[in-house]
Amino acid sequence: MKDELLICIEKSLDWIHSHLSFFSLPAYNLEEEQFMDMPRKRFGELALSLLILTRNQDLKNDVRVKDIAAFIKDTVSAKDYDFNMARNLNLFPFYLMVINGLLKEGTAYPDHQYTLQQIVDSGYITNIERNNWNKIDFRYNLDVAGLKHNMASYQDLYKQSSLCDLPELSYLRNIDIYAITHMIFHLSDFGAADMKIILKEDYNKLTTYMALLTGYYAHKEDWDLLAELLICCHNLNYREFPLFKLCWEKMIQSQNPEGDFTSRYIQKELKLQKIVSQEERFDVNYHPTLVSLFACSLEYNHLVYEN
Amino acid sequence: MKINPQLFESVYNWAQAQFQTAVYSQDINAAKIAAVLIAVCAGDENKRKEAALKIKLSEDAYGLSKTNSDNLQLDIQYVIVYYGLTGTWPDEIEDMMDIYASVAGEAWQSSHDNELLKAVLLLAQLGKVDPELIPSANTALLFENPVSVYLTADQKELYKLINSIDRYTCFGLQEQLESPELLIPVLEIRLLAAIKVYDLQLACCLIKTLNYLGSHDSMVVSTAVKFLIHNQAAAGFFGYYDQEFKLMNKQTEESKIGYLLASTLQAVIALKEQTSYRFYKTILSFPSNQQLRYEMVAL
Repeated sequence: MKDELLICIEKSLDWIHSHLSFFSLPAYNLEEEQFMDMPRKRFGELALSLLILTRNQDLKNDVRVKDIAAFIKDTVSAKDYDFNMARNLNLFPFYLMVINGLLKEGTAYPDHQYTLQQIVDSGYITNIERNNWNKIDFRYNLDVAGLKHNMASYQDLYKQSSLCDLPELSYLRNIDIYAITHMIFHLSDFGAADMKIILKEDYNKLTTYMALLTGYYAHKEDWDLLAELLICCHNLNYREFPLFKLCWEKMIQSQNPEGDFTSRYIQKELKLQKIVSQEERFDVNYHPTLVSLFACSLEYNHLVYEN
Repeated sequence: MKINPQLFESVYNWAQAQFQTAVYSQDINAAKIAAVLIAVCAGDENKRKEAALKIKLSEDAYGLSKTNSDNLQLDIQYVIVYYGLTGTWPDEIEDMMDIYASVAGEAWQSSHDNELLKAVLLLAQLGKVDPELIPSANTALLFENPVSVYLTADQKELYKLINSIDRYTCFGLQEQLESPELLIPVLEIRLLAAIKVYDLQLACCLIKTLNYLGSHDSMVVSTAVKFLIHNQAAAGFFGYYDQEFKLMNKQTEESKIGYLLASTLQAVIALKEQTSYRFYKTILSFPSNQQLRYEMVAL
């Protein structure tokens, strides 16, 4: 499967590289309250890709990855990128995500880190209401950024989460699964930490559950969630289920010749050969493409370097 | 997974009421399905006697067994129920069953079709077919496609697969069979998918088929069984079909009842077959006809 994964990584990187301009951020709009909107979410996730891609030395030196890093750095260095950073706390998670991607790539922004630490120290951002999914994600990002905080331990957060008390499979919605996958990403540091330490005796039940969901989303041909679940299989170091190989084959075969993966939101339209604009296609396909790239890159590292 | 017997009692009570209504309104299909449900769910002697009395009185008054429904198997099932409960044949019916047995047996030998196999197995319960006709699982389980294809195959193809497994396992009468790699995992995913789209009919078929292949306590099967149990209405029937009824333009109670009876029978069989019970072996899982014949004297 190594070769297939490598081809998939190459094609995804080409697609992302050729669409870098679509990740651009709009100017800060003083007229309206600014939130973590879609352009910021996309940009933050692109920055986060550095956190995973740079784990592989070959990819770290790849010219396209270097271009992605340069594009992010250019944006971060632009005049109004940190405009209102200390005052608009809606954007705190966004700044944190970007800083983390760049930190892992090897570039630090001490001024930004200082401002973010000041915000944490003010006792607001870590004390407001969040569900456990958001708490785990948030704590992970604070830790990667090296910020001091007073949040509960991962063990405690896990114990109170849906990951610990798994919801009944029959009623699960997509959003519930995103919660589960994200908690696994962050509790395992995308596979760098051994999840068994936190899961203990829950490991077997969780892996059986995840294997079923992985098969289910391969059946649904939902490449976005399938990729997230395959990342989780990597993160849990769990590959010993009968449909594992078939799910990977389905994932790899679903890649479009252009390199992107089709989102569930436009699958019908594309099957019916309806015309979808480039912008519309990017808006929905960027996420399955990014997460598939994460999945392929992590699994490729496992096959090549960890075995 | 343990199933609370009260679940079947609740179906029994509901089916009794539906049987009565269907008999009076001469809805043959509904009356016969209700009779089968009553027989399958009658959990103790008292209920069995009560059911026997009710069905016998209705048969005497309306001759249900002489009026065919639009489903041959259902007609045979009703006769099995009547014979099993009362220990006697409905008037003039035994000869008809002999004819059915001869035709179905012959047809089954020339064409291995699931519907014919069901008819043969049912008629065997009446002692009307040669047991030699019932296949033993010594043939290979062959599919039209590689098993992996069925992960995403459409429903028509999936039902073909289910049918071939049901035929191969003789509806669970042949156990401990080897199944090809990936077959059970693929079917389990399709079961989960059936639940997620509220296709209870497909879910029941898959619960049974997986059971025939020896998978009855996996996480998915347990989830599906639990889901089914949670979809029993307070009245006793299975399935909340407001959406489907609206789409099928079934707004009156009468038009809904046939659908609910069929759905409930499917669910009850799928749940009962989680034990050693097999619908196509013995619809009624209680005392022999000899004993029943003796008891009928008192009726």
